[in-house]
Amino acid sequence: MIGKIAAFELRYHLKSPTFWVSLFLFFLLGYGLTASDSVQIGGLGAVKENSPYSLAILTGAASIFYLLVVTAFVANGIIRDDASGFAPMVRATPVTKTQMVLGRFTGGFLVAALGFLAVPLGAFVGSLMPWVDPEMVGPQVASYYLWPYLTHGVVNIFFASALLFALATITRSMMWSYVAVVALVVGYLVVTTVISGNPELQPTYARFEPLGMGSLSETVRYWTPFEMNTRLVPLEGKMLFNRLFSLGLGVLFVAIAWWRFSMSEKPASKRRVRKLAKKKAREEKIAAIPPTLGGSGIAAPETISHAAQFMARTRLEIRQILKSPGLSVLVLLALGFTATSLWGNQSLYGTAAYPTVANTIDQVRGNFQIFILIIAAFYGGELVWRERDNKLNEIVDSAPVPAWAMTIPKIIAVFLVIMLVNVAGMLMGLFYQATSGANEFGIAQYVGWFILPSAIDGALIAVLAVVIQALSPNKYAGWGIILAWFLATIVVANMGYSNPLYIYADSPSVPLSDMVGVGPYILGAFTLQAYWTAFAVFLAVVAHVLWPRGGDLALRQRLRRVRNNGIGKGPMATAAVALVAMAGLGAFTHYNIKVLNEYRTSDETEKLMADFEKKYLKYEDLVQPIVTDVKLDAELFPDERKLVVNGRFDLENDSDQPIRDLHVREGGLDVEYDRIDIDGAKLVSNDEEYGYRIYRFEQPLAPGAKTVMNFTSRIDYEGFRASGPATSITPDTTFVNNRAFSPAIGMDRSGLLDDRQARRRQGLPPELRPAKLEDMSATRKNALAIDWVNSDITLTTDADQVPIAPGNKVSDMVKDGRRTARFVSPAPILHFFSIQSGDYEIAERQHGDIKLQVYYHEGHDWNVERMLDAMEDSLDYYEANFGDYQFDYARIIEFPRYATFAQAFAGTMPYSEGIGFTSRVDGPEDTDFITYVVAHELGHQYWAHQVIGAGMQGDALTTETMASYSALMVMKNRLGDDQMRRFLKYELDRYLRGRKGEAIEELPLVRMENQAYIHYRKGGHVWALLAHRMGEDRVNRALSRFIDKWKFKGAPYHRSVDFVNELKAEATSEAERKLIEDLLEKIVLYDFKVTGSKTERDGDKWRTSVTVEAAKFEADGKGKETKVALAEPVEIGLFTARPGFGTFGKDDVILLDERAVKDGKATFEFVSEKKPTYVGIDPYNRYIDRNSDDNAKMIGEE
Amino acid sequence: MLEIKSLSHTYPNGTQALDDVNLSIPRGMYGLLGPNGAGKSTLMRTIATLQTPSEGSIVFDGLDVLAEPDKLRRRLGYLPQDFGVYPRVSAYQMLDHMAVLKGITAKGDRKAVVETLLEQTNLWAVRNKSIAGFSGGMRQRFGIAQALIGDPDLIIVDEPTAGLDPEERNRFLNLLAGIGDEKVVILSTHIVDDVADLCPLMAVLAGGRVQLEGKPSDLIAQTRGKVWKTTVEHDAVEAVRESHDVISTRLFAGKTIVHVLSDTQPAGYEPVEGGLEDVYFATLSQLRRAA
Repeated sequence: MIGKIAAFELRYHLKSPTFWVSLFLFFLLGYGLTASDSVQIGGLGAVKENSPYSLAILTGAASIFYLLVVTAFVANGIIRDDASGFAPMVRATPVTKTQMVLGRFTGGFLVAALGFLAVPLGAFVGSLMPWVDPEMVGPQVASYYLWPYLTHGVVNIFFASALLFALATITRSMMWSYVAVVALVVGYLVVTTVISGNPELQPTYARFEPLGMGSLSETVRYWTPFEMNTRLVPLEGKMLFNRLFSLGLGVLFVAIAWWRFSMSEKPASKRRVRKLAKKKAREEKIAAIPPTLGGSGIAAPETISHAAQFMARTRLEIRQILKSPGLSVLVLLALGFTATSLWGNQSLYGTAAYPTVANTIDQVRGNFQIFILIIAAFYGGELVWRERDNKLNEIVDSAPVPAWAMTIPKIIAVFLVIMLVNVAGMLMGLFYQATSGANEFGIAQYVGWFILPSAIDGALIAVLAVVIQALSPNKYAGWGIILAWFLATIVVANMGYSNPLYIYADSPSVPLSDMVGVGPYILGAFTLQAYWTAFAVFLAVVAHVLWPRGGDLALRQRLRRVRNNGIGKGPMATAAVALVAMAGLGAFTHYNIKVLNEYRTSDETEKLMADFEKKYLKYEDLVQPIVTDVKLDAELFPDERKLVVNGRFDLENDSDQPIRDLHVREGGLDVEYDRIDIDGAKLVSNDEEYGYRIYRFEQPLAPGAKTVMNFTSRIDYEGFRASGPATSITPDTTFVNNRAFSPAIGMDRSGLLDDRQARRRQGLPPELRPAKLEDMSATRKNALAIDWVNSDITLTTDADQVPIAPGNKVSDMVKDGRRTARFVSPAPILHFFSIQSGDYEIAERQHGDIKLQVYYHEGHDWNVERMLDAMEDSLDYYEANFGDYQFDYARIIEFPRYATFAQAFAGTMPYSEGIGFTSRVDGPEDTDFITYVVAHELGHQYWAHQVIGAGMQGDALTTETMASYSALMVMKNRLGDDQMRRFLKYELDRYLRGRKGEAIEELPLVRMENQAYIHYRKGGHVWALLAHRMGEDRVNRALSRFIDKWKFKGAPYHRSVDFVNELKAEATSEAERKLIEDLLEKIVLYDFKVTGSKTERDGDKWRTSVTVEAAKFEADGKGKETKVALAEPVEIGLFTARPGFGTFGKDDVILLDERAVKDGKATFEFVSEKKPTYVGIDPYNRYIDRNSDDNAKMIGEE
Repeated sequence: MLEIKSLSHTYPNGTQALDDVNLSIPRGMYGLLGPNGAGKSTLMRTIATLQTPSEGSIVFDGLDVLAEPDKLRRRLGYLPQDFGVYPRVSAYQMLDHMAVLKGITAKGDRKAVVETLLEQTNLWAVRNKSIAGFSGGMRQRFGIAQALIGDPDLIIVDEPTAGLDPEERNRFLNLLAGIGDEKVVILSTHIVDDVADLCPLMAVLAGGRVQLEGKPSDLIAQTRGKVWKTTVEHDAVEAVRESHDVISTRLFAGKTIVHVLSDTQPAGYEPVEGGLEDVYFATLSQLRRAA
């Protein structure tokens, strides 16, 4: 019997549109995740789209969203009978409660499981698409798809089915089942966000998170790309436990459903019986009096007020929509997502952020776009079809109401709901700001930056939704068309097509910043919104003319009606005005994006870059003169967004051969040159498309000879662009680097196409690898391919702004509303610098003979003192250990959050509004990444700005790696060695994650090739270990000697081996030399873990034994690991708190001993005064440890 | 008052619902009788400007309905066969809203209209209740109330008594009778008694064509002396059908009463004082035979 009921259930759903719609949607989801290269699961370069790992993640993630569909299947099985009135007949049959419950559940579950097959199927079809990069697709293996379908698909669906089945049994309402499931999904997302930020809870999370995502990520955390591409995620350990736990929960929920399910109808409550009786009595009384019609009725006036009808319709539509039960669900859902993203909002390095106005609004705005679309699409359908769905259309349509009085109120009602949701979002944002220490709320900004633009967007989508529904033969087709439109806009955007003139409701994006507000970008957005509003008016006229009235639903009939009755003067005139406005605004837009600015699709840009490379990269090794002196006179006009630079470069041939041709690149796409003159040379070729010029010397420039280049350049931003707004010069802030406004000498690799897939598409080799370490010819150029220069920069800006450029400030004066400052470098600087200007607050501190300054936007003062402290600490450490700082100033300058990075120019360090200035690190448990980053950038004043290596393998060792190391040492000095674990662990985790994503090959530090996870992450980490093992002083002695030797030196530049040799000179034992080799010249990984421990009283002391396991591996470039012998001194310690967590510090350390550790298992004994609660081997993660979480454990924990 | 000429309508799916319909309807109650699927509702909807016919013309009081539907809508009251309401809206609110849609936008007028109609249809006591909870009779009374807003000259009532119990039906017909003779009232129904009780003029519509038109009494007179009945066992009905022109059969006390059409009295049959029902069924049976 159960089988038959289940089979009926199955057949029933197979015929329902819900099943097929969900099948289609989830097929699309699976398809989109593999077919689109803009979506990458886990974001790992070397892991294939169809690898067992990717497919497991994909399946698990899809199963979370599948919850919403599962409700439809299982809840329906419970609610259907009552809803359809069929219940009495069903319950009168001899089917038992158990049969009924189990049958219906089994049927619903099977349908859901069957429908979920769409996900692996879609993923499979997606991975076959011709445009998918073949490098991203591995062999097609059926089990890669089916195994996760079983472990995460079917198990999760069973759990979800049981849960929702129970919910439906208890609530007895489809609506409440949906509300519950929405709450569950939102709650799930919130809880997982919170927990994933807390590593202590990870093991528990992995065991008990019912959808198995936690156990999945726990299992694969330390897998290599090779394993991810070939290994099915094994069902063992925590994963097995977790899956059984979910199944068990499922069984429990089915039992609950069985317990709560009742076959007999509940008798009406006493209250209801009374109510019914009253109603009946009332009706009888009414019926008893015979009604009579008569008397002359009141007729309508000759001219009917359509305005009054319009108002009445509007009131009715609004009332209906506000009372609709779905609205509160949607609002709650939107708020849930917004809250998750606001409170989960992270600044740099996973620290919380202070709520700046721009950031908060951006978060709210970003989350709401999709909801606005859903709301507009959903209510568009509901409202347009409401009269027909409620069988009211014949009455309403036979009344003398013009169609527009029906259409427009519906648009208004949809619009109003969108506004309501927006305002709710704004309140959520304000609440977040109020509870998170905002300096400024910015109500006006909410209105101007979010509510108004989003209102227009909402209105545009509302019109589209209503018009599509008005023309559509039924509601579902209408929804389908809107979905298709939405997907089409995504596809078009992915194809790199961004001309907003042809994409409905599209407008250039408006980046937000507290420093600039909406800036000049609002013009483009406003123009396009007006343009599309005009079109929307036209659409509304179409909807009015073709409004479905009465029974004529076929479009042909409606057109016949229009032919018979005409369109009418009003609609004609409105449409004409709208189209004229559209044409005018369209022409203005065209002028802006194609005449004033250049418009390219991303394909065109890609091709342009590729062609440039094909044409000119051959000149990369051409010998060119170096720049020795730079003199610039820059005139900035912020309000006009214009920069005019007069410059002079002194050039010198430092090679041993005469130079005939001088190659000059114009730099950025936005710059134009009034002149580029070179003494003694003539322009012989000027490729304007690529901005590449070749000058020929009348007399080849002899070795040692000098010449001068003079130029005038201008950047003049006008109007608006289709996309990629010009953000470097705004009326309020300017941040331009010299490559954007001054010529570059010779060809180098900057600005070339670097995406591997794009390169292959364009017929280029997939990557440009740097010169090999052994290639001595590469020592002619340094890592940045730029020269050491003396600079003299004069910057003039408006008087209300502060001009900033690298160099000691030698003058600063205001004249005629303009402020001019001159900056002269006291020592050679790299020919790479920025000029900045803005209305800044300045915090200042004199540190010896160095003036420290932080330039910041008013109100962003949370971390300013901390930055000044960080500069002091860093300079103290560096001057004591590395040598003299070369400037009499150090400046940190905030720039708008259009980009989020910090960068080190000579003595000046631009630092984004989006990080650092707004990070929140003042809690006792917070990690102070602000100081860390400041120390890093100041480290670059030595590492890069004093010594820079040859552009070849390993060149980042003396720049990024040493800056990382410097920052770690500053932190160690500031916080103490015992606090270092959090920084070491941070770098370690990023290194391990980075090497998983390696697409080409992992290399040792001396040979690394622009691999950030090695040069920043592994680099700093292993140098800290070197300092620990060899002693900080000895290591720093090698560093300072190295700086002395290479400071400000031009070609030939040093190689990484020169640097390593300097360190090796400090090594005093074979073990130290071996360590240097392991860490810098090989890829070596360790694995330490505590496998057991116990402690007992021994007199007045505590005797503790710690059992550990240790191993050491050497890896090749592809991640294949080989075990090697381990014999190294490793710290083992006893603690009263978990190292690296909370406020762990010196006081929590009972004992920390270095012991000789060999590979395999070993037990160590300790005696201490205090009772330990935690033990650990390498507890601070000084070694590169494959699994760094099992190094410290509670006493007794295994 | 209402002249319908050569009206034909074919739906996009090919169904011909109306086939050259010609009717001339004066003031007063006019009954349009026909079986389900005869094209009644199509005709009603077409007159009510809800559908554009494939061919033909409709003129009401000199007004070309197809060319200027909006002008007719100002004078029209329409109670469709099956209608719903907005959820969570009371009778008063709904009537008030309909009054605005019908053009009575002045507040005072609207109040008077709505309250009078609620009083007249006896819905005053439940005016603040949601219509969704109304019984069938109350719902139809609400339907007629909304149709009467604005004192229309043309009132179309499509199958108003379907689904009402006899008492409710009776009350509803009484209500219709009160509308008066000054207006054109078209009552479409498949229940013969509705027409017989109320309408001085009628037409029978079947297969999309007008089969019969006239005063019920004249039509009844035409069948006088031609309708005969007999009572047979249930299993003998087929035999009767073969030998006679059967109009209708009805069960009574376990046996079947058969009405047949014949110019002379068949043996074993007794004469029947023909009613409108016999006229109607005779027409339908002739149509069936012709088909």
